[in-house]
Amino acid sequence: MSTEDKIAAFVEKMTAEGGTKITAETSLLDSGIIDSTGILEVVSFIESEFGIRVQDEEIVPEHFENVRFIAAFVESKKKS
Amino acid sequence: MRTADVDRPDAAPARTARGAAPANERQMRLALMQTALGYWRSQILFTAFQFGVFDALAGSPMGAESLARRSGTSLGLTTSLLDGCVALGLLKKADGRYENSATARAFLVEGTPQYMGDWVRFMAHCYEPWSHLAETVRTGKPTTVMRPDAPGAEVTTRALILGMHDYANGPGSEMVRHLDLTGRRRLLDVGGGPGTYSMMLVRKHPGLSAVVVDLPSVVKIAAELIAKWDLEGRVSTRAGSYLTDDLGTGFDVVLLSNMLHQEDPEAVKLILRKAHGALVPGGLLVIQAAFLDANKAGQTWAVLMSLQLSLFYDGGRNYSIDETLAMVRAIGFANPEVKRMSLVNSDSLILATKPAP
Repeated sequence: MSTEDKIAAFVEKMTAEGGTKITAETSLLDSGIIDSTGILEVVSFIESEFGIRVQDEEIVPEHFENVRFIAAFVESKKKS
Repeated sequence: MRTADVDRPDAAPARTARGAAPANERQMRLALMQTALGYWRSQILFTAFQFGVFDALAGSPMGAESLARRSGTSLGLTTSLLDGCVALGLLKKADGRYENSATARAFLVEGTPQYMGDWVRFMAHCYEPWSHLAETVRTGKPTTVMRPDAPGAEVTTRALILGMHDYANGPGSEMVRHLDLTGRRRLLDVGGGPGTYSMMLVRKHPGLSAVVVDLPSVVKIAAELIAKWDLEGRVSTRAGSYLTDDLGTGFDVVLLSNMLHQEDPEAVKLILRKAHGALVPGGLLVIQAAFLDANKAGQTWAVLMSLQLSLFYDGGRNYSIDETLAMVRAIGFANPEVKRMSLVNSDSLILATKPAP
Protein backbone atom coordinates (compact mmCIF):
# COMPACT_ATOMS: atom_id res chain seq x y z
CA MET A 1 0.00 0.00 0.00
CA SER A 2 1.45 3.37 -0.99
CA THR A 3 1.72 6.30 1.39
CA GLU A 4 -1.15 7.98 -0.45
CA ASP A 5 -3.36 4.89 -0.21
CA LYS A 6 -2.72 4.49 3.52
CA ILE A 7 -3.60 8.12 4.21
CA ALA A 8 -6.70 8.00 1.98
CA ALA A 9 -7.90 4.84 3.75
CA PHE A 10 -7.45 6.50 7.14
CA VAL A 11 -9.29 9.66 6.10
CA GLU A 12 -12.17 7.65 4.67
CA LYS A 13 -12.43 5.68 7.90
CA MET A 14 -12.44 8.75 10.14
CA THR A 15 -15.27 10.56 8.34
CA ALA A 16 -18.53 9.75 10.05
CA GLU A 17 -20.41 10.15 6.79
CA GLY A 18 -18.57 7.19 5.34
CA GLY A 19 -19.38 6.39 1.75
CA THR A 20 -17.30 9.40 0.66
CA LYS A 21 -14.67 8.20 -1.78
CA ILE A 22 -11.50 10.12 -1.12
CA THR A 23 -9.18 10.57 -4.08
CA ALA A 24 -5.69 12.01 -3.85
CA GLU A 25 -6.98 15.39 -5.01
CA THR A 26 -10.20 15.62 -2.98
CA SER A 27 -10.05 18.87 -1.04
CA LEU A 28 -10.26 17.84 2.61
CA LEU A 29 -10.42 21.30 4.14
CA ASP A 30 -12.71 23.38 1.92
CA SER A 31 -15.14 20.51 1.45
CA GLY A 32 -15.35 20.11 5.20
CA ILE A 33 -14.37 16.43 5.02
CA ILE A 34 -11.88 17.24 7.75
CA ASP A 35 -12.61 19.97 10.24
CA SER A 36 -9.81 21.78 12.04
CA THR A 37 -10.50 19.54 15.03
CA GLY A 38 -10.19 16.40 12.90
CA ILE A 39 -6.84 17.40 11.46
CA LEU A 40 -5.09 16.34 14.66
CA GLU A 41 -6.31 12.78 14.11
CA VAL A 42 -4.63 12.81 10.72
CA VAL A 43 -1.48 14.28 12.27
CA SER A 44 -1.24 11.60 14.95
CA PHE A 45 -1.96 8.92 12.34
CA ILE A 46 0.89 9.99 10.07
CA GLU A 47 3.20 10.42 13.07
CA SER A 48 2.64 6.88 14.30
CA GLU A 49 2.28 5.23 10.88
CA PHE A 50 5.35 6.82 9.28
CA GLY A 51 7.49 7.51 12.35
CA ILE A 52 7.71 11.27 11.84
CA ARG A 53 7.25 14.21 14.20
CA VAL A 54 5.01 17.06 13.02
CA GLN A 55 5.42 20.54 14.52
CA ASP A 56 2.38 22.81 15.04
CA GLU A 57 3.69 25.31 12.50
CA GLU A 58 3.82 22.57 9.86
CA ILE A 59 0.09 21.91 10.20
CA VAL A 60 -0.84 24.32 7.41
CA PRO A 61 -3.13 24.01 4.35
CA GLU A 62 -0.09 23.67 2.07
CA HIS A 63 0.62 20.32 3.72
CA PHE A 64 -2.89 19.09 4.48
CA GLU A 65 -5.17 20.31 1.69
CA ASN A 66 -5.52 16.86 0.15
CA VAL A 67 -4.15 13.33 0.42
CA ARG A 68 -1.48 13.97 -2.25
CA PHE A 69 -0.14 17.00 -0.34
CA ILE A 70 -0.13 15.03 2.92
CA ALA A 71 1.75 12.16 1.28
CA ALA A 72 4.31 14.56 -0.22
CA PHE A 73 4.74 16.18 3.19
CA VAL A 74 5.23 12.75 4.81
CA GLU A 75 7.84 11.79 2.21
CA SER A 76 9.75 15.07 2.71
CA LYS A 77 9.68 14.56 6.49
CA LYS A 78 10.97 11.01 6.15
CA LYS A 79 13.94 12.25 4.13
CA SER A 80 14.82 15.06 6.52
CA MET B 1 -36.71 8.08 7.02
CA ARG B 2 -34.21 6.69 9.48
CA THR B 3 -33.17 8.98 12.29
CA ALA B 4 -29.56 9.01 11.17
CA ASP B 5 -30.64 10.33 7.79
CA VAL B 6 -32.40 13.41 9.08
CA ASP B 7 -29.29 15.55 9.13
CA ARG B 8 -27.46 13.95 6.28
CA PRO B 9 -29.94 12.70 3.71
CA ASP B 10 -27.12 11.79 1.36
CA ALA B 11 -25.12 9.99 3.98
CA ALA B 12 -25.46 6.26 3.65
CA PRO B 13 -27.25 3.56 1.79
CA ALA B 14 -30.26 2.22 3.70
CA ARG B 15 -29.62 -0.89 5.73
CA THR B 16 -31.00 -3.88 3.91
CA ALA B 17 -33.64 -5.95 5.65
CA ARG B 18 -31.36 -8.91 6.21
CA GLY B 19 -27.94 -7.28 6.11
CA ALA B 20 -25.86 -6.12 9.05
CA ALA B 21 -25.41 -2.42 9.69
CA PRO B 22 -22.76 -1.14 7.29
CA ALA B 23 -19.57 0.06 8.90
CA ASN B 24 -20.39 3.70 8.21
CA GLU B 25 -23.71 3.34 10.02
CA ARG B 26 -21.90 2.00 13.08
CA GLN B 27 -19.64 5.05 12.92
CA MET B 28 -22.62 7.36 12.59
CA ARG B 29 -24.27 5.79 15.63
CA LEU B 30 -21.06 6.11 17.63
CA ALA B 31 -20.66 9.75 16.62
CA LEU B 32 -24.26 10.44 17.63
CA MET B 33 -23.76 8.79 21.00
CA GLN B 34 -20.54 10.66 21.63
CA THR B 35 -22.37 13.92 20.93
CA ALA B 36 -25.20 12.99 23.29
CA LEU B 37 -22.79 11.94 26.04
CA GLY B 38 -20.31 14.79 25.70
CA TYR B 39 -21.30 16.36 29.03
CA TRP B 40 -20.37 13.19 30.95
CA ARG B 41 -16.77 13.85 30.08
CA SER B 42 -16.98 17.59 30.78
CA GLN B 43 -18.48 17.05 34.21
CA ILE B 44 -15.89 14.47 35.27
CA LEU B 45 -13.12 16.90 34.30
CA PHE B 46 -14.81 19.92 35.93
CA THR B 47 -15.56 18.05 39.16
CA ALA B 48 -12.08 16.58 39.53
CA PHE B 49 -10.66 20.01 38.81
CA GLN B 50 -12.97 21.66 41.33
CA PHE B 51 -11.81 19.26 44.05
CA GLY B 52 -8.18 20.05 43.25
CA VAL B 53 -7.34 16.49 42.22
CA PHE B 54 -4.67 17.42 39.66
CA ASP B 55 -2.83 19.84 41.93
CA ALA B 56 -3.00 17.30 44.77
CA LEU B 57 -1.40 14.70 42.53
CA ALA B 58 1.34 17.03 41.28
CA GLY B 59 3.75 15.41 43.72
CA SER B 60 3.52 11.72 44.41
CA PRO B 61 0.73 9.23 43.65
CA MET B 62 -2.10 9.09 46.22
CA GLY B 63 -4.87 6.69 47.16
CA ALA B 64 -8.55 7.60 46.89
CA GLU B 65 -8.82 7.76 50.69
CA SER B 66 -6.23 10.54 51.01
CA LEU B 67 -7.80 12.48 48.16
CA ALA B 68 -11.32 12.10 49.62
CA ARG B 69 -10.08 13.24 53.03
CA ARG B 70 -8.32 16.20 51.45
CA SER B 71 -11.38 17.39 49.54
CA GLY B 72 -13.95 16.35 52.17
CA THR B 73 -15.81 14.09 49.76
CA SER B 74 -17.29 10.61 50.05
CA LEU B 75 -14.78 7.81 49.63
CA GLY B 76 -16.96 5.64 47.41
CA LEU B 77 -17.81 8.27 44.84
CA THR B 78 -14.42 9.96 44.99
CA THR B 79 -13.05 6.59 43.91
CA SER B 80 -15.58 6.46 41.07
CA LEU B 81 -14.71 9.99 40.01
CA LEU B 82 -10.99 9.19 40.01
CA ASP B 83 -11.63 6.02 38.02
CA GLY B 84 -13.64 8.14 35.57
CA CYS B 85 -10.59 10.38 35.20
CA VAL B 86 -8.49 7.28 34.52
CA ALA B 87 -10.97 6.19 31.83
CA LEU B 88 -10.70 9.63 30.21
CA GLY B 89 -6.91 9.59 30.25
CA LEU B 90 -6.63 12.37 32.83
CA LEU B 91 -5.16 10.13 35.54
CA LYS B 92 -3.32 6.82 35.71
CA LYS B 93 -3.97 4.12 38.29
CA ALA B 94 -1.52 1.53 39.61
CA ASP B 95 -1.77 -0.57 42.79
CA GLY B 96 -4.86 1.35 43.85
CA ARG B 97 -3.04 4.68 43.73
CA TYR B 98 -3.65 7.52 41.31
CA GLU B 99 -1.22 9.79 39.49
CA ASN B 100 -1.56 12.53 36.89
CA SER B 101 -1.44 11.49 33.23
CA ALA B 102 0.82 13.35 30.82
CA THR B 103 -2.18 15.53 29.86
CA ALA B 104 -2.87 16.50 33.45
CA ARG B 105 0.81 17.14 34.15
CA ALA B 106 1.14 19.40 31.09
CA PHE B 107 -2.09 21.40 31.36
CA LEU B 108 -3.90 20.96 34.67
CA VAL B 109 -1.28 21.50 37.36
CA GLU B 110 -1.09 25.11 38.50
CA GLY B 111 2.18 26.80 37.68
CA THR B 112 3.06 24.72 34.64
CA PRO B 113 4.00 26.77 31.55
CA GLN B 114 1.09 25.45 29.48
CA TYR B 115 -1.49 25.67 32.29
CA MET B 116 -5.10 25.53 31.01
CA GLY B 117 -6.77 25.24 34.42
CA ASP B 118 -8.29 28.73 34.42
CA TRP B 119 -9.75 28.05 31.01
CA VAL B 120 -11.19 24.75 32.27
CA ARG B 121 -12.64 26.63 35.26
CA PHE B 122 -14.27 29.15 32.90
CA MET B 123 -15.74 26.36 30.78
CA ALA B 124 -17.17 24.88 33.98
CA HIS B 125 -18.85 28.26 34.57
CA CYS B 126 -20.35 28.03 31.08
CA TYR B 127 -22.04 24.72 31.82
CA GLU B 128 -25.01 26.30 33.55
CA PRO B 129 -25.81 28.82 30.75
CA TRP B 130 -25.55 25.98 28.23
CA SER B 131 -28.33 24.21 30.13
CA HIS B 132 -30.55 27.19 29.15
CA LEU B 133 -29.87 26.87 25.43
CA ALA B 134 -33.48 25.94 24.70
CA GLU B 135 -34.75 29.04 26.50
CA THR B 136 -32.21 31.24 24.73
CA VAL B 137 -33.18 29.83 21.34
CA ARG B 138 -36.87 30.30 22.15
CA THR B 139 -36.57 33.96 23.20
CA GLY B 140 -33.53 35.00 21.17
CA LYS B 141 -32.05 36.47 24.34
CA PRO B 142 -29.44 35.19 26.78
CA THR B 143 -30.72 34.09 30.18
CA THR B 144 -27.49 35.23 31.86
CA VAL B 145 -25.85 38.31 30.38
CA MET B 146 -22.14 38.47 31.12
CA ARG B 147 -21.44 41.83 32.73
CA PRO B 148 -17.91 41.77 34.11
CA ASP B 149 -18.58 44.87 36.21
CA ALA B 150 -21.88 43.73 37.73
CA PRO B 151 -21.96 43.19 41.50
CA GLY B 152 -21.25 39.56 42.30
CA ALA B 153 -19.62 38.91 38.92
CA GLU B 154 -16.07 38.90 40.34
CA VAL B 155 -15.65 35.12 40.39
CA THR B 156 -16.94 34.59 36.84
CA THR B 157 -15.01 37.60 35.52
CA ARG B 158 -11.81 36.34 37.06
CA ALA B 159 -12.39 32.86 35.64
CA LEU B 160 -13.13 34.36 32.21
CA ILE B 161 -10.14 36.69 32.10
CA LEU B 162 -7.61 34.19 33.49
CA GLY B 163 -9.09 31.58 31.15
CA MET B 164 -8.54 33.93 28.23
CA HIS B 165 -4.97 34.44 29.44
CA ASP B 166 -4.32 30.67 29.46
CA TYR B 167 -5.81 30.41 26.00
CA ALA B 168 -3.87 33.33 24.53
CA ASN B 169 -0.62 32.23 26.14
CA GLY B 170 -1.14 28.65 24.92
CA PRO B 171 -2.99 27.81 21.72
CA GLY B 172 -3.56 31.49 20.87
CA SER B 173 0.11 32.48 20.97
CA GLU B 174 0.60 31.53 17.33
CA MET B 175 -0.68 34.91 16.13
CA VAL B 176 2.46 36.57 17.48
CA ARG B 177 4.53 34.62 14.93
CA HIS B 178 2.26 35.76 12.07
CA LEU B 179 2.23 39.43 12.98
CA ASP B 180 5.15 41.63 11.95
CA LEU B 181 4.84 44.98 13.72
CA THR B 182 8.39 46.12 13.02
CA GLY B 183 8.54 49.92 13.05
CA ARG B 184 5.18 50.33 14.82
CA ARG B 185 5.38 52.07 18.17
CA ARG B 186 1.97 52.29 19.84
CA LEU B 187 -0.61 49.52 19.98
CA LEU B 188 -4.16 49.86 21.28
CA ASP B 189 -5.64 46.58 22.51
CA VAL B 190 -9.40 47.20 22.52
CA GLY B 191 -11.39 44.95 24.82
CA GLY B 192 -8.01 43.34 25.45
CA GLY B 193 -9.11 41.36 28.53
CA PRO B 194 -6.01 39.97 30.25
CA GLY B 195 -3.73 41.90 27.83
CA THR B 196 -1.82 38.73 26.98
CA TYR B 197 -1.54 39.49 23.25
CA SER B 198 -0.21 42.99 24.02
CA MET B 199 2.35 41.47 26.38
CA MET B 200 3.48 38.86 23.86
CA LEU B 201 3.65 41.44 21.04
CA VAL B 202 5.74 43.96 22.99
CA ARG B 203 8.08 41.16 24.01
CA LYS B 204 8.57 40.34 20.34
CA HIS B 205 8.95 43.99 19.23
CA PRO B 206 11.35 45.97 21.45
CA GLY B 207 10.17 49.37 20.12
CA LEU B 208 6.49 48.72 20.77
CA SER B 209 4.33 49.75 23.71
CA ALA B 210 0.68 48.89 24.27
CA VAL B 211 -2.45 50.16 26.00
CA VAL B 212 -5.11 47.65 27.04
CA VAL B 213 -8.61 49.13 27.22
CA ASP B 214 -11.31 47.20 29.03
CA LEU B 215 -13.83 47.50 31.85
CA PRO B 216 -12.46 48.46 35.31
CA SER B 217 -12.84 44.98 36.83
CA VAL B 218 -11.07 43.47 33.81
CA VAL B 219 -8.09 45.81 33.58
CA LYS B 220 -7.49 45.23 37.29
CA ILE B 221 -6.75 41.60 36.47
CA ALA B 222 -4.75 42.60 33.36
CA ALA B 223 -2.60 44.87 35.55
CA GLU B 224 -1.80 41.91 37.83
CA LEU B 225 -0.70 39.83 34.85
CA ILE B 226 1.35 42.68 33.37
CA ALA B 227 3.16 43.02 36.71
CA LYS B 228 3.70 39.26 36.85
CA TRP B 229 5.29 39.37 33.39
CA ASP B 230 7.35 42.40 34.45
CA LEU B 231 6.07 44.59 31.61
CA GLU B 232 4.63 47.55 33.55
CA GLY B 233 6.85 49.98 31.63
CA ARG B 234 5.58 48.84 28.24
CA VAL B 235 2.00 47.70 28.63
CA SER B 236 -0.45 49.98 30.42
CA THR B 237 -4.16 49.68 31.07
CA ARG B 238 -7.04 52.10 30.72
CA ALA B 239 -10.42 51.43 32.30
CA GLY B 240 -13.29 52.21 30.00
CA SER B 241 -15.96 50.96 27.65
CA TYR B 242 -15.01 50.57 24.02
CA LEU B 243 -18.62 51.35 23.12
CA THR B 244 -19.12 54.60 25.01
CA ASP B 245 -15.65 55.98 25.82
CA ASP B 246 -13.17 57.74 23.57
CA LEU B 247 -10.41 55.38 22.40
CA GLY B 248 -7.83 58.10 21.88
CA THR B 249 -5.70 58.83 18.79
CA GLY B 250 -2.21 58.37 17.41
CA PHE B 251 -1.96 54.59 17.49
CA ASP B 252 0.03 52.63 14.89
CA VAL B 253 -1.86 49.41 15.54
CA VAL B 254 -5.34 48.63 16.83
CA LEU B 255 -5.87 45.05 17.94
CA LEU B 256 -9.40 43.64 18.13
CA SER B 257 -8.80 40.11 19.34
CA ASN B 258 -11.76 37.85 19.95
CA MET B 259 -13.97 40.67 21.17
CA LEU B 260 -16.12 41.74 18.20
CA HIS B 261 -18.00 38.48 18.77
CA GLN B 262 -19.50 39.94 21.95
CA GLU B 263 -21.44 42.45 19.88
CA ASP B 264 -24.15 42.69 17.23
CA PRO B 265 -23.29 44.03 13.75
CA GLU B 266 -24.22 47.65 14.58
CA ALA B 267 -21.88 47.67 17.56
CA VAL B 268 -19.16 45.98 15.50
CA LYS B 269 -19.39 48.80 12.96
CA LEU B 270 -19.19 51.36 15.76
CA ILE B 271 -16.05 49.71 17.16
CA LEU B 272 -14.45 49.57 13.70
CA ARG B 273 -15.23 53.26 13.19
CA LYS B 274 -13.63 54.10 16.54
CA ALA B 275 -10.61 51.93 15.70
CA HIS B 276 -10.28 53.85 12.42
CA GLY B 277 -10.37 57.12 14.37
CA ALA B 278 -7.72 55.92 16.82
CA LEU B 279 -5.22 54.98 14.10
CA VAL B 280 -2.66 57.23 12.42
CA PRO B 281 -2.78 57.23 8.59
CA GLY B 282 -1.04 54.04 7.49
CA GLY B 283 -1.95 52.46 10.81
CA LEU B 284 -2.76 48.77 10.98
CA LEU B 285 -6.01 47.18 12.06
CA VAL B 286 -5.64 43.60 13.32
CA ILE B 287 -8.74 41.48 13.91
CA GLN B 288 -8.29 38.04 15.39
CA ALA B 289 -11.34 35.79 15.53
CA ALA B 290 -12.72 32.31 14.96
CA PHE B 291 -14.43 33.11 11.67
CA LEU B 292 -17.37 31.14 10.39
CA ASP B 293 -17.36 29.58 6.94
CA ALA B 294 -19.34 31.46 4.29
CA ASN B 295 -22.42 29.26 4.90
CA LYS B 296 -22.00 29.82 8.68
CA ALA B 297 -22.29 26.09 9.45
CA GLY B 298 -18.52 25.52 9.81
CA GLN B 299 -15.90 25.36 11.20
CA THR B 300 -17.19 23.37 14.13
CA TRP B 301 -15.34 25.33 16.83
CA ALA B 302 -16.49 28.69 15.45
CA VAL B 303 -20.11 27.55 15.09
CA LEU B 304 -20.36 26.08 18.59
CA MET B 305 -18.60 29.06 20.09
CA SER B 306 -21.06 31.35 18.33
CA LEU B 307 -23.86 29.59 20.20
CA GLN B 308 -21.98 29.96 23.47
CA LEU B 309 -21.59 33.70 22.78
CA SER B 310 -25.35 34.01 22.30
CA LEU B 311 -25.78 32.51 25.79
CA PHE B 312 -23.80 35.37 27.35
CA TYR B 313 -24.05 38.40 25.10
CA ASP B 314 -27.23 39.92 23.70
CA GLY B 315 -26.47 39.98 19.97
CA GLY B 316 -23.14 38.18 20.41
CA ARG B 317 -22.06 35.81 17.64
CA ASN B 318 -19.16 34.82 15.45
CA TYR B 319 -18.94 36.41 12.01
CA SER B 320 -17.83 35.01 8.68
CA ILE B 321 -14.74 36.31 6.95
CA ASP B 322 -16.87 37.83 4.18
CA GLU B 323 -19.13 39.68 6.63
CA THR B 324 -16.12 41.02 8.51
CA LEU B 325 -14.31 42.10 5.35
CA ALA B 326 -17.43 43.90 4.14
CA MET B 327 -17.70 45.86 7.41
CA VAL B 328 -13.96 46.64 7.43
CA ARG B 329 -14.16 48.00 3.86
CA ALA B 330 -17.35 49.95 4.56
CA ILE B 331 -15.64 51.82 7.39
CA GLY B 332 -12.85 52.90 5.03
CA PHE B 333 -9.99 50.51 5.70
CA ALA B 334 -7.86 49.56 2.69
CA ASN B 335 -6.14 46.39 1.49
CA PRO B 336 -7.81 43.95 3.87
CA GLU B 337 -5.92 40.67 3.97
CA VAL B 338 -6.91 37.37 5.54
CA LYS B 339 -4.15 35.43 7.25
CA ARG B 340 -4.95 31.84 8.09
CA MET B 341 -2.76 30.32 10.73
CA SER B 342 -2.00 26.64 11.29
CA LEU B 343 -4.92 24.24 10.99
CA VAL B 344 -4.80 23.51 14.72
CA ASN B 345 -5.61 27.15 15.37
CA SER B 346 -9.32 27.95 15.08
CA ASP B 347 -8.60 31.67 14.83
CA SER B 348 -7.58 33.63 11.74
CA LEU B 349 -6.38 37.19 11.31
CA ILE B 350 -7.73 40.00 9.18
CA LEU B 351 -5.28 42.84 8.61
CA ALA B 352 -6.24 46.16 7.03
CA THR B 353 -4.71 49.61 6.74
CA LYS B 354 -6.07 53.06 7.40
CA PRO B 355 -5.23 54.88 4.17
CA ALA B 356 -3.53 58.24 4.15
CA PRO B 357 -6.07 61.04 3.57
